[in-house]
Amino acid sequence: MITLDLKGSKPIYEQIIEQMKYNVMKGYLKPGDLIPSVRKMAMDLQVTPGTVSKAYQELERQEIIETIRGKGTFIAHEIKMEENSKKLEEIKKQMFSPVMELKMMGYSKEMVVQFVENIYKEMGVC
Amino acid sequence: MLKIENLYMKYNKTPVVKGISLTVAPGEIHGLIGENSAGKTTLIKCAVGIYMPDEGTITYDDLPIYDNPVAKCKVGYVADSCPYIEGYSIKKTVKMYECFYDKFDKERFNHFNAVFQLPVNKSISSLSKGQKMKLTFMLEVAKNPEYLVLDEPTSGLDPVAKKQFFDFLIQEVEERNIGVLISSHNLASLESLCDSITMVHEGQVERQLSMEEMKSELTRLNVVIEGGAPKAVYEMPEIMKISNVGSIYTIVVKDYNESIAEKLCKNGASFMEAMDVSLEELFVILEENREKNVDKNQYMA
Repeated sequence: MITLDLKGSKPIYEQIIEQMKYNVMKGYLKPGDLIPSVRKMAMDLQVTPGTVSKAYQELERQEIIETIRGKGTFIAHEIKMEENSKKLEEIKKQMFSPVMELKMMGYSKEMVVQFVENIYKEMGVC
Repeated sequence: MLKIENLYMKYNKTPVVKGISLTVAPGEIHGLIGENSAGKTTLIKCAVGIYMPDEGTITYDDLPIYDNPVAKCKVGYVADSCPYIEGYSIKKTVKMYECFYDKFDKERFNHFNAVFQLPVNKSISSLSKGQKMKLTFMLEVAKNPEYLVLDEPTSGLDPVAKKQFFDFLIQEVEERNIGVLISSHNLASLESLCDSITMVHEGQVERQLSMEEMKSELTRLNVVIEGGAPKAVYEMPEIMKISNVGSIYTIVVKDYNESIAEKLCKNGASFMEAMDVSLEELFVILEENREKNVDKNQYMA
């Protein structure tokens, strides 16, 4: 369900958050699906329970997963993708440099839009 | 809460455990690591009430363990070797446990054995080491303990059995909120199992940290230093280990921070990446550095 890049610079707990969100977005994980407990996931991924716990806490805060005591952890029934203006600004800033790079390489705006569309296609949401 | 306070224990006149304290809360998995003959098994045998310590106290939910059947009923204990009555069959052994322990749950034993599949009609003497280990685990967990004390529980288990064992253990902790003290040399497994770690050296606690704190102690840097690292790099006190292939250096540093990075950059390093060190690696590097320091001290004396 989750594949970690242990050599990457991205912290492991962020990778878990990102991939969990990706799986939800793609519909591989549906609302109400049971996901492994913190300890089970730590064993499966060979990381410390604390790392998984940190990721789950964040996912819970963003209301993507929910833990029901005595039953387990599930994908939340109503997923609100987080509206976070600070995060949005950050992402916009990050987009600047690849877009500029593409322009300097001579790609037209239409081509760049096409690239974005391709990414959406890859994610399976149009 | 399992509470071990200021424990001292000696064999004849040789002190083996010298002032160890640790606690295990319900729902917590606490790892006990240390080199051979560091005192782990002695500590554990005191912890489950087999040995009477020379000094110090051991309590489970405020009940002292030694010679106390009430406290002992709270504790499941898996030793590295478990003597049973060799002529008994597994069935008969289970019956014996039912007589001894009020809370023993045969259903639970059968539930576990549906996975481990031990031949219940065979005698104990015919079982292999791994099978005996499985038997011990099942018997102890079927006692419905509130705490489990495990001494090298995975020795003798094949990879499949090991996985089944850890699955069961995790299940017990999550569903029944038991507290676990586990000693093992299988550090890769402990890393993804334990919440906290006590590292024992020559009968004393050397480190007692959460797994996160323990892991963040050391960081491995992969660094390029064109033309070779100058002497100043080798002399940095933060560096625990340094090796190179050509101009690519692998450096393990203690308590990595910005100023270490700056220092390295000043000495010609361009950064590639900073990585976590596994618990196993961390253990080896700490041991090696201790030996180095001991050598130095002896040399100075």
